[in-house]
Amino acid sequence: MPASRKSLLVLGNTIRVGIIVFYLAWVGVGFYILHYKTMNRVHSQYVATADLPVGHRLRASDFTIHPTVCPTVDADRLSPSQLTGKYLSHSYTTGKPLQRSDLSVAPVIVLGDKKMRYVFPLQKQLDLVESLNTGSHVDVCWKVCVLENARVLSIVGPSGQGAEYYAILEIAAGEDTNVAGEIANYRLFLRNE
Amino acid sequence: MFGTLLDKLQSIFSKSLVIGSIPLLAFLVLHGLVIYHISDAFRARVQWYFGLGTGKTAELTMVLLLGVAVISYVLSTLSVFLREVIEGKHLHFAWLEDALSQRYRERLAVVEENLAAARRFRRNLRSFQEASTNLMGKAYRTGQTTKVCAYQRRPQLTALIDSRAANQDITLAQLEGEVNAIAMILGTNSPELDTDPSKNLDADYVALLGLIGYALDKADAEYVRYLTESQFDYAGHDVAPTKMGNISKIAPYYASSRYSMNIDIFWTRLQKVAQADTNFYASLQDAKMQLDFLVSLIWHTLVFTLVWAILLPLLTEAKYLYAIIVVTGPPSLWIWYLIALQNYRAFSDLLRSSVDLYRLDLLKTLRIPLPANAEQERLVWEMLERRVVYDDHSNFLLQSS
Repeated sequence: MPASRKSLLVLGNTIRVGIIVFYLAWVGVGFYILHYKTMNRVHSQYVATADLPVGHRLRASDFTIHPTVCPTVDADRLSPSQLTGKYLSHSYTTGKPLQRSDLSVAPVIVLGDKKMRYVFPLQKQLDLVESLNTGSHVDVCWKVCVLENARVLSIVGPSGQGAEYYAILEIAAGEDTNVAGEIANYRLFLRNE
Repeated sequence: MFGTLLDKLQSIFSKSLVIGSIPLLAFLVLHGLVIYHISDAFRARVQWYFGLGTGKTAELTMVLLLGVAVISYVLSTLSVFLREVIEGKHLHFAWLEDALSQRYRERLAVVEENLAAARRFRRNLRSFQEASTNLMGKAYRTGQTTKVCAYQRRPQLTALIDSRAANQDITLAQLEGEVNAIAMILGTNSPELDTDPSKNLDADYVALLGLIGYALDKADAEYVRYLTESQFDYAGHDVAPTKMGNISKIAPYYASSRYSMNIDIFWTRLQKVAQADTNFYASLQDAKMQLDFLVSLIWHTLVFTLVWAILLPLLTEAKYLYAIIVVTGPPSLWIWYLIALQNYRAFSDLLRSSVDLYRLDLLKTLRIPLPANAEQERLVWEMLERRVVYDDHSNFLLQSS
């Protein structure tokens, strides 16, 4: 039986509208998948390569891509440059996925009892910026060592132009007087790395 | 078949190949950018490529461009098929073709109805213009003999003048009412006295003539609009499932309906004759190239949008990039399609022009005597078609030189 004019028109319009609806539906599904997957995955792209203490300033060698995540496709993952220089607000064991919420732009410093901070400029020892980190121990010397085995609390980097790095050292109250006035001459010597 | 023949126009020209490669190159770059965004491995490859050094990078670039040229050439062989798909020629199911083309059949019916109404209205308006000019002229001359004038403009006339100023339609009934009123006033009042009412009457008489002219201009414009739509968008009542399909049928329909000439058969021969007019032939080639460019753009946009609309969610990658692609893809596709339709109309018009201009030259080239009149010409083309296609042995008189 030949189709009527009206039924053909309805069928034709249904096909056209159906294509548009199908596309919109797929777009909606796509957004759902992307949103859901992103929520579960974005923060677990990188894992720690070693045990990292609280306050650790991240370097490129401190993390790697999770071996179960396909390394060839990962657009929503933070780039490594977005991680390096950040400070950990929690300690990490080797292999633990890095969480964005555990990363801080500001230094995270945990000071021991009856201890104080001592800010030591690193302008003349920029090579130490990459080797020192939270938990490192250093001696402060010039002719003689006035501070021995001081714990590094944090390394503070420059916010703008220039290379103004500082090592935040943990010292006992009163020890700061040992280097007062002569600070430009003193150098740090790494002890345990 | 006609599409294949048309495509031969450009296949031998490197210019078209180069221009045809532009959409391919542009979309390969876009695909590359998306992959670069989502793939560490590809990113590493790109960095490796740019770190090769000038000489090796140039060598590899040449290889890549050669690859693009090869792909472009392969795609150019598919261009007819790809265009025909947009024209709705490969739907395979008659019911599908009927269903999709019904919309255009409905529109054609509306256009034809409107065209007939516009034609009627224009004809009535012309008759009315003549009758009202006579009526008012006669009343004007009668009024000249009186030496009095007490005239005040009717609000209806002011409303019509406002309508004209606002580019609104004016109906025949509105004009009739005003013409009768002014004719009656003109018959008993002189429009040529040196008084304000008389001057106003004369001015309104002229204004009313202007209103009739305005209504006629509007009617002409409407008639031309519907005529153009029916001539440039539809090939008689052979309706295709898409607008582009309908436009593609116009040139063959035109040649067949005006001259009984089968353009599918005679196009290659006609093309040979048209080539003698280098300017015209260059215009024809350019129009074809632009059309193919846009068709290529449509397909590349479609493929790009669909591929990434499907892949990105499956790979759970790049939410924002996905949003950009799925939102901008379809409108871009629609814009390319609309531009392609405009270009196809222009190309189709050139094809019709080539039939008008060069068909008799083709007869001369074939050494067939020129027909004495239009109907005889139809017979000539029909006989030629029968002889060329069906191996009909009807005899022809050929010119010796």
